[in-house]
Amino acid sequence: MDIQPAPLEKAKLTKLGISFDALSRYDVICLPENVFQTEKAEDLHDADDSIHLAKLLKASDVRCATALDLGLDVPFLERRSSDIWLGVVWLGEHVVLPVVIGVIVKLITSKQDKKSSDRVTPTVHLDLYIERVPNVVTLSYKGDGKTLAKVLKSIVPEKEAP
Amino acid sequence: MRSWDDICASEYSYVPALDRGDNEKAKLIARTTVNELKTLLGNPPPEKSEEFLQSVFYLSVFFRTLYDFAALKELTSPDDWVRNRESLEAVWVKLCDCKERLEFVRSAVAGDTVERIANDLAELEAFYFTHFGQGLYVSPVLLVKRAFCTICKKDIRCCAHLSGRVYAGRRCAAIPDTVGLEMKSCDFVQIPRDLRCRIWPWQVKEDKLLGIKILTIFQIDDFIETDEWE
Repeated sequence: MDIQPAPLEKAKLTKLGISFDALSRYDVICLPENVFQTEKAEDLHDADDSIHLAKLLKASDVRCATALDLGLDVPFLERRSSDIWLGVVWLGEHVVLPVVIGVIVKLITSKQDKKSSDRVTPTVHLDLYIERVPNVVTLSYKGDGKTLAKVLKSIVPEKEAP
Repeated sequence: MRSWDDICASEYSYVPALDRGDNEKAKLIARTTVNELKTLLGNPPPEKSEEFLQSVFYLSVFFRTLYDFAALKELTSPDDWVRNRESLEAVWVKLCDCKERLEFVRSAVAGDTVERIANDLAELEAFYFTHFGQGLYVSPVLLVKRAFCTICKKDIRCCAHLSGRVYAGRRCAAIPDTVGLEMKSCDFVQIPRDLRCRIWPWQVKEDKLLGIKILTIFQIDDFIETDEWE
């Protein structure tokens, strides 16, 4: 985990056409996976599973937006490997963490169950940004789903745990 | 069209045909049943519920699995199939089709036939792993500008349908628009999404790969819209 000043990250997003205002209107934003690596909006792309994640969050009544909801019509990368690519997930300051983490864990588990007969566990790729004003806590994860589920559950303060 | 009970009971005439080694008969039973279920999906009786359509859908995938399995038995019936490269590749592809469909229907259909097929497929897969190893596979990375939902036909990013979920007898999938579709790279991986894209030892010639599959368009329910059987 890493802690950075929130304004720095937000400035990068503004440069790509994502406003502060938009960030404050939502609890969760599923951002393009290369949003913090590129400086040009035309190079942005979503991860394949991030659209699915955004739909699950919206269905759970979480105020969630994708790049498209924020006015950025970006393509997505379809990888024909069995890994799970969740892209960059930005969690706002007042997000209900247990609900969001519950949805992410459920998605990973259901995807892994589908591949239950496979020989090796698929790798999950996720960059999580949690706003803790004035900072942003970041978690860049690449590994198995079970460990990620444990890590995510440990983020939730005990009194909020589901 | 037979009654619903008779359609469901087709499994009990399929299994004896398979046991007798009459793969043609088994295929015919499965194919007839799939066609009847497809007719029901296309023109459902007005009084039938969404749940009924879900059952018809899962049953149609189940009987398509039975068809694939009988076809697999047919492919592996000649003694020399293991010495023929074309047969080895064809059996592997059919095994993948059968396995994917079976895994999908297992959440809704259970019983001795399902278990028997699962065990036979596992044995066949083990044969490949023993003789050819776990394998290396081609895994392309595609940049998709837009993809359409098979349920509502809208941009998949804008609707609420979830890929892979079945809605009133139709399975949601994202169909990429070929306009703006770009292959960014081609990786070689040990765990691919599509096991059909396996690289066989005989396809590696010095520093070249010849005749490999890069991408297939298999869908669990692709037989519903088309009349493809082989």
